[in-house]
Amino acid sequence: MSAESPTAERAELPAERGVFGRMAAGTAHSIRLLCGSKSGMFGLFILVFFTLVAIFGPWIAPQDPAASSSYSSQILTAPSSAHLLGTEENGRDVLSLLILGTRISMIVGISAALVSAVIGGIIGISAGFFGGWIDNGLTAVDDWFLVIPFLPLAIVLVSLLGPRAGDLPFGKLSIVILVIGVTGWAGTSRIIRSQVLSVKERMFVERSQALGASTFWVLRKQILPNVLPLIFANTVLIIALSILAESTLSFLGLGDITHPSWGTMLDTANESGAVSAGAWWYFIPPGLCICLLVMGFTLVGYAIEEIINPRLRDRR
Amino acid sequence: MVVTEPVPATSDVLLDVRDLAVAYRDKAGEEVRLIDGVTFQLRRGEALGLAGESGCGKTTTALAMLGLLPTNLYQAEGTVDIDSTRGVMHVHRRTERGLRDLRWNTVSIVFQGAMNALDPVMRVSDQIGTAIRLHEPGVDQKTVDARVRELFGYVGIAPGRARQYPHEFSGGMRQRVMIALALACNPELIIGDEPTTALDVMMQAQILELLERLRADFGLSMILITHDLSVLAETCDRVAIMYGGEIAETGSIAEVFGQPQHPYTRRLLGAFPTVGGPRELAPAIPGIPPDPTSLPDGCRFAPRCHAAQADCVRGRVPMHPVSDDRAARCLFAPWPGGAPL
Amino acid sequence: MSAVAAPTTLFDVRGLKVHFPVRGTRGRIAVRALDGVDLEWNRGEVLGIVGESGCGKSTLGRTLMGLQPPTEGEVRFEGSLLRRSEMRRLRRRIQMVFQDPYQSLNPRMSVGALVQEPLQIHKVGKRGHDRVERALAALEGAGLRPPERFWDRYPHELSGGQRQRVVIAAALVLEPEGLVCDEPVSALDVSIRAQVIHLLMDLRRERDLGLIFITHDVGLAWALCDRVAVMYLGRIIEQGTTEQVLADPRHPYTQALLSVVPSPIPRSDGERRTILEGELPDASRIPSGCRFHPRCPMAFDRCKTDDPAELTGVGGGHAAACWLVGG
Repeated sequence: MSAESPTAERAELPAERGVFGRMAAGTAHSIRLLCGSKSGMFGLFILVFFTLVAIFGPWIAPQDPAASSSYSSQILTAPSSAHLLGTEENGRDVLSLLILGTRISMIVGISAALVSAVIGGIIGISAGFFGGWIDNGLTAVDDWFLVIPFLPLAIVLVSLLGPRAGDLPFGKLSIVILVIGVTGWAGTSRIIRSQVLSVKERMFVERSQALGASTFWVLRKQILPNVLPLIFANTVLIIALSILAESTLSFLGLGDITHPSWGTMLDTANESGAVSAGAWWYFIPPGLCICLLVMGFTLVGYAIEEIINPRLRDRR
Repeated sequence: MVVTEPVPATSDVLLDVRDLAVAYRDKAGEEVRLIDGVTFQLRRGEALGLAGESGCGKTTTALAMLGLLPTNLYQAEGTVDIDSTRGVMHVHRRTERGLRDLRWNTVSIVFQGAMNALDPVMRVSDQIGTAIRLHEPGVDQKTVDARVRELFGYVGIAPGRARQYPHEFSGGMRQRVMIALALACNPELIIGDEPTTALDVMMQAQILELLERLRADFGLSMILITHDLSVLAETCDRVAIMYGGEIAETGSIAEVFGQPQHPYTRRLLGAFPTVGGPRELAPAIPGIPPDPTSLPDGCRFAPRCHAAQADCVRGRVPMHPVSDDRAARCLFAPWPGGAPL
Repeated sequence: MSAVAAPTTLFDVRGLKVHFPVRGTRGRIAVRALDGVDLEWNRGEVLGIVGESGCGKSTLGRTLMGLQPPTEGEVRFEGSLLRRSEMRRLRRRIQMVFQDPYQSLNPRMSVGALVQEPLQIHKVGKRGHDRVERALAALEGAGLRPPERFWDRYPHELSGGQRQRVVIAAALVLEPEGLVCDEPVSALDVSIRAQVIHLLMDLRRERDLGLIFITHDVGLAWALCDRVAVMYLGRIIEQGTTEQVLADPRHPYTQALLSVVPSPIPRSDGERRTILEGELPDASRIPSGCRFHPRCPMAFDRCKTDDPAELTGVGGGHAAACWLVGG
């Protein structure tokens, strides 16, 4: 005869927190664990820094590069008290461009990675879970995307689709996001597929089926919770790659001039002869920022992977 | 530095372990003992069974015999002496170099899960050959080959299979290879750590029969470590039951299994019903084995013991002699008629 | 609800074969995990399926639970053929307990979630309070007391014995009629084994549960089962009551098996051990004639050519598949 209160307490506790609820709790827990990893902490610090810059950009930047007032005749001047990072070929403040470029680089990077994650996740899970001809077909598509060199494909796609971007939010950048996302999912889906395959074989999944669970139930309750953390860790690393990809495409002139990212800055620096003029303040800062941000995401991504892996393994 | 004494008059006792304790230091620097006060003797040609559940310390004890304790463990107390034909060896005092001389030549071991301990990319004969060469450097290939063939003959593997790789052997056959490996340098004592645990009943019978034959043919002494009391009963002369890092009971097989003097032994035996005997299981022992980091005061078995009294939790219980070569770590030993069910 | 009494036979298996096609070195061959099995399991009965690894006993358990489709033959549950539509009804009433408690529980689910899962799958009970109560009761029935203390724990925080109890609780929560247990205690420590076995026996007594007990441990089968079927290389080669099969074995394999089972009771000098040579043949290369003849100490000419596919009765429900038995 159990007392009324313990049972009542139990009934108030959600019996299951649901996939996303658990993910949120898991994330909080992961961040706590991250504190144990020095490189992870360093990476996190970088990310937090850049995130703040991105969010508060318009308020921090000394100038608004889009305003015509920013243009001046002091082109390519060295850093001074007025312009901490000097000016570019239109006389605008480089620091402001850099700060506002943070937003673009980060948003494009994260969005593209999300697109990759969603596509890669769905394809990877479907291939691993359903097996058979679905798996064969999806894996073949996956192979195709893995083999095709990213850059030529991206260049072609952006060049073709770019001009039609007109009324999309972020204009041409949306195309860039989509293109990076669509060309970058192949690696993720492979990893996810492997994970699904291994989880599928675990005894607790078979036990669930023996209990009478439907396919969908197994997918939702058994496979997904064991796969989502991996998708999460992988996505963080993909963000790093996406930022690099976006910088590359922008550097090649395929970005959106109206929303300049760091890559765009490198491109215009190049075009305007800043390199030969020795105007280091124009092209070194964006390059550094790209490196730092990519490093930040990579370090955090590795740290998360380390945390996730021991947990996925059964503990005795 | 090897410390050996001149060979004394041949004594009956091959292995003499007294008050052995093995421990590690936890994060706070406190000593945590995995085994404590372990004392037993092994006579020449005898087979001693070391029985107990996982965590009772039997593998740790075995490793201590060979000085093979992992680096985080150390010997906190006690002595391990082997009176071999090559001199008396004080294992507890030996350096690594001295131990290497001891290992395989005098004492060898067949590990738990040994079947997976073979190098998958090396031919089986080469693996045994390596062992031989390590202890007899400069021996020529022909001698090694002959010896490998000889060993295979003893353990019942066709000599033609010597050049095969481990994956070409089944589990039971690989265990035979491990036994051949253990015999490679003519040891006097073989320690088998759960050598048949992962094997089927029939395969187990084959391996046990092999060990029996080798003992008879070569006068080997053996320590057999297992949780399966039935296996011990079939192969050993004497048994030491371990619980919670201590020896709970010792004696001959017939005596200990016929009339156990420790309540743990009594209940444990009841967990192995015999075909043809009563069709029931003895009442189960409640709870779980103790954690070495939080051992109970007094008798370590008292929290789970069906015969425990107030005195049992008062202080460490010493071994109580029951007869000449029998003892039990129980306040009420000797129990007339054996420990209660 | 039918007015007819529930049928007493839970499982009725006829000619069951499960073959796995495998690409061998000489083309496609079949691993014949089950090669013609006839079996009956009645309500409230404890049936032991005994054999060494590779004999097919685990495959049999999984096929009965519908986790493995048969290649040939039929499995009937309460008289009806097991089809996909029948699966749900089967799984509501018969549950399975797996061997490895360390692998059978989803490491990301709490004990409370694990034990409620069957209720959610079969939509038993009302959400919330009702299901929680049932789950708590099941945990208690499995010996995890007080159940509240285990509710929020995760599998990695539990010992092997506790994990197996959680598996049993999850099996009990639907109040099944029978449990198929595949080596439920092999992975557990000796003293814990006894606890779990006692639990199963108590449950059997209290709830009139039937049990199929798949094991290689002949001693346990002796102590617990009402009837025993001995398997060798995909076939049942002897069956009958426990006393019949284990105390008076008629098939040479059973005899050999029993003679080598170690026991703490010292053997009398008259009893010899029949240790068979070699090992179980590959299930893809089953010998001709009687599949046991290459290792059989009593094989004669007929054994090499004729396969004793049928069990020959020796009286009282005891039967063995051997040419030496009967006529």
